[in-house]
Amino acid sequence: MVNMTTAAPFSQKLEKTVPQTALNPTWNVVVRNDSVNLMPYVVMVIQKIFGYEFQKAKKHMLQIHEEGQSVLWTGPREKAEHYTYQLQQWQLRAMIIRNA
Amino acid sequence: MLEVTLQLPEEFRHWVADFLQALILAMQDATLPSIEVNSDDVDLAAAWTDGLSGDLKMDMEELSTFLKDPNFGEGPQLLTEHSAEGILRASAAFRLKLQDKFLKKFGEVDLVDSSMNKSEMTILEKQAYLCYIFLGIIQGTLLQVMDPSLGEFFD
Repeated sequence: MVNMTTAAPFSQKLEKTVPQTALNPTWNVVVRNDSVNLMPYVVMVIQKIFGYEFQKAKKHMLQIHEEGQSVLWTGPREKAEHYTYQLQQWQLRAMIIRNA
Repeated sequence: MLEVTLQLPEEFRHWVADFLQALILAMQDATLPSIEVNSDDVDLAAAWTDGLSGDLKMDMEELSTFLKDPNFGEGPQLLTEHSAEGILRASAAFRLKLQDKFLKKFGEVDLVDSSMNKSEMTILEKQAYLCYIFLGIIQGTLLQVMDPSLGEFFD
């Protein structure tokens, strides 16, 4: 995939601020709908960042469009932040939300 | 290398390129669409937004170079995938900004179908909308060249 080498500039800081314990919660990477970005653009971005197959990326895009948001990935905070940063680079309304 | 061809009438080609270049300059310090950084860490949030701003500046340069190419709107333009991605991202940022600054009163359907009442639009709104549409055409053209599997969205 292209552009996966772009490292978030804050990775070093995260290592200092996030304690690595077995009790660390997981975090959801969420993308919310916007009225501007094109559907094929969103599909391409999801494929590019997460490496998802076309149909899976399309399913997420449709969920964003029809339900207002979609959880694209769940996992450790540091990686979730990295994905969120990349999605925001592509101008998608991405955020991370702590799993309850 | 990717070969991209946009065929535009000469007058429109010059107008839209000049207009977008002027907008790129005017919006240079304010091109970042609003983002949400979920962190209480002030330093982290600052590094995050600074990083995105720097990335976007580079993307805007790719778009600017694309518009200044002598073949723009006329003949084939050769782009690396890296450049094409920068142009895609810059176009997305620009469209978000245009929508936020000039086209907010129009709904999503109006913007997609051009179904708003044009006679009630100000000149600035018309110009912004033209650029909004044009940037979408650039994105659509690039996407089809970069990933033919996305063709179903353009049928």
